[in-house]
Amino acid sequence: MSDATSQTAALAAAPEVPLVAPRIRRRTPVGSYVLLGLIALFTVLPLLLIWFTAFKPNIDTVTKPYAPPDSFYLHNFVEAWKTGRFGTYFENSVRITIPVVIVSVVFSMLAGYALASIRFRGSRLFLIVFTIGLMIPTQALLIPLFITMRDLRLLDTFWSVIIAEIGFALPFGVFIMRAFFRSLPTELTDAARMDGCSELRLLWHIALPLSLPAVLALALFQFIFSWNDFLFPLIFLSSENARTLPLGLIYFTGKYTTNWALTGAGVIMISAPVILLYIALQRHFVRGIVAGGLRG
Amino acid sequence: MAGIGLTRITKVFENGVVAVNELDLEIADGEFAVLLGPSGCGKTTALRIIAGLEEPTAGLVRVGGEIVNHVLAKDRNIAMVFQNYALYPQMSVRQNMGFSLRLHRIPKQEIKERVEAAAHLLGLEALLDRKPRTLSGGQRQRVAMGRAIVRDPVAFLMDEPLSNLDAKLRIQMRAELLKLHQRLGTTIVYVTHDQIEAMTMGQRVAVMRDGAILQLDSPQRLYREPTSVYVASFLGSPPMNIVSAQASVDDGRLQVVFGEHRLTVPAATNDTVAARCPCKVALGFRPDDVERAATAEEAGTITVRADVVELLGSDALVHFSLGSGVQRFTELMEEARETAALEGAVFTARLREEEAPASGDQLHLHVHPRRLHFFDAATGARLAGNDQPLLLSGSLSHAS
Repeated sequence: MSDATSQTAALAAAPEVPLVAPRIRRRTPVGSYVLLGLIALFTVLPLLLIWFTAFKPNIDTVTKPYAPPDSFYLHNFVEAWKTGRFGTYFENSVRITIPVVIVSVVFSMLAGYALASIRFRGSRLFLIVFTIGLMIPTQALLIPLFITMRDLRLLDTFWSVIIAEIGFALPFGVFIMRAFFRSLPTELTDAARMDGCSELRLLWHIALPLSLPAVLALALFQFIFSWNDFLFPLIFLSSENARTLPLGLIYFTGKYTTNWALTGAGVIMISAPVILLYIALQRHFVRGIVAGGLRG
Repeated sequence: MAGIGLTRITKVFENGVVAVNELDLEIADGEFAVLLGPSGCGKTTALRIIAGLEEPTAGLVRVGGEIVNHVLAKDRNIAMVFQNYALYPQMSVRQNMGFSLRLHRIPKQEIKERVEAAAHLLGLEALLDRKPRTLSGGQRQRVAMGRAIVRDPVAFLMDEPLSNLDAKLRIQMRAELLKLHQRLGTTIVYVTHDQIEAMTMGQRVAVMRDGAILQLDSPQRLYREPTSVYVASFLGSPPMNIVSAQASVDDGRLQVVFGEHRLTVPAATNDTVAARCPCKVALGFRPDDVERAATAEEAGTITVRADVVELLGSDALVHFSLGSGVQRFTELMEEARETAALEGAVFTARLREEEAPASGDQLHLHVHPRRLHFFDAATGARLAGNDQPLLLSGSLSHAS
């Protein structure tokens, strides 16, 4: 009893302590916001100008180049699609990009898996060859490639662009996929082997479902690379019917004048599939990059 | 079901590390065998070689009497339970358990029945449609076990399957594993660094070191008749007290001197040592084989001062030093060498609580002569010693 009394007395004597700790005030990082705002502005502004340009008559692009369009003028798109033959170019781009994405992703997966989890003679050499492939700029191989394509009689066919793009897409793809497969716990692949998986089944049933983010990210990367590629189509494709979208765009630029409105509409048409695909796959895309990058 | 045999297995890794060195091991059909040793002793590599996940550099692997060196892991019909369970995260418990059967093209209805039977056995029925990430450690562990059972393999390999569980769950799973083994009767090779797991579960335990088996015996024999200083000090908690001592025969009695202490035991207790005397030996006695004596007069009694006394409830651990000049015997024991340096050569006795002294007290300790272990001071090999007949329990006796 006396204990309790003395405790109460002690409590009463204790200085008053607030029960809730005062909130720590954080200063708003004004500087950071300003800097980030400026960077955002620099990124968004050109895009915005292109959108403005695409939706106004060509004459307005000269008289009031920076003003927003007065109305939603869609004629430029129709014009670019028909007169600018964007319909044909679009189809050509699709016919090149889809095989490039499919083949490069499948091959990257197979090679990446083999290099990551199968021990075989020469695996190091393969890895080195692929890594060197990452370092060689496209331009350095243009002339030999041109000569090879000419000798193979592939010039002015889609095959020339498809083969060259797959070749340049592979080192990056193999690198990413190898990094991702290496990050899978070895116990998991061991367990699958014990369960009766052959290597191919292991890849299909276990490794692939777990690396879906990386595969999707890679597919998107290769899509952007192939879809936007300008150099290979320019060098290998000469007839007008074979042109791809990025090539088509430069034909809106004449010797003395440029049709800015048509160019704007063209740019939007080219970038739309990429943007849509990115939005659709965004979640996987970020996860894929992070996983591959951190654990590689 | 099948027995497993390893003959002169050697595994040298690409970096030159010898993980397994001329290992011989015969595991009988239906036996529960444990590979026990510190990390890096080659026990997991040996297990992986049996599984087919690792190819031996030399030697033969036999499963069910047939040489399987060139049979792929997937075709050996052996199931393995991994330390981190290795459940496929994208599959439900049901799919995880049935995956192997699906690969082997078993009809769907049969897969369902076998998965459900295994789930029933392990109490997993309610979890069948959940993903591994939503399960607790113990549940995942059971699913991993279920995945192995469903296949009805010729043998189970288990690589420290309980080490990620908390202490309470581990004890429970230990019992469940034993029950499972009794029920299925399938050969189990179990790898662990935990001596309690090894002692409680294994019908035979192989103590491994540097890629080789030092002793393969029933747990009781390992504990009571260790063939080397290493095995003696590796098993038992607290570890065996081992000192460097000088042995001589005087008047038909074996005199063992270490520091200022002298133990006198009938020479007949250990003929091997008596025959070699005078000689240097490593003398060992387990903390459990010590009891408190009333006087120092009794034969086999030493007088020590209790440094620290730990009360554990029913019994007490008394830590004592044996005075200057008495060192823990540490030759051949790299692991122990560090410990000894840290502990300042502390020895331990386990006494009944009512016998426990206070810290700082002087006390007389009596070591039963039959419980003394003698080892060669140079090689660490056993010089016979405890020749008392061993009592093996019925269920374990067939293993040895």
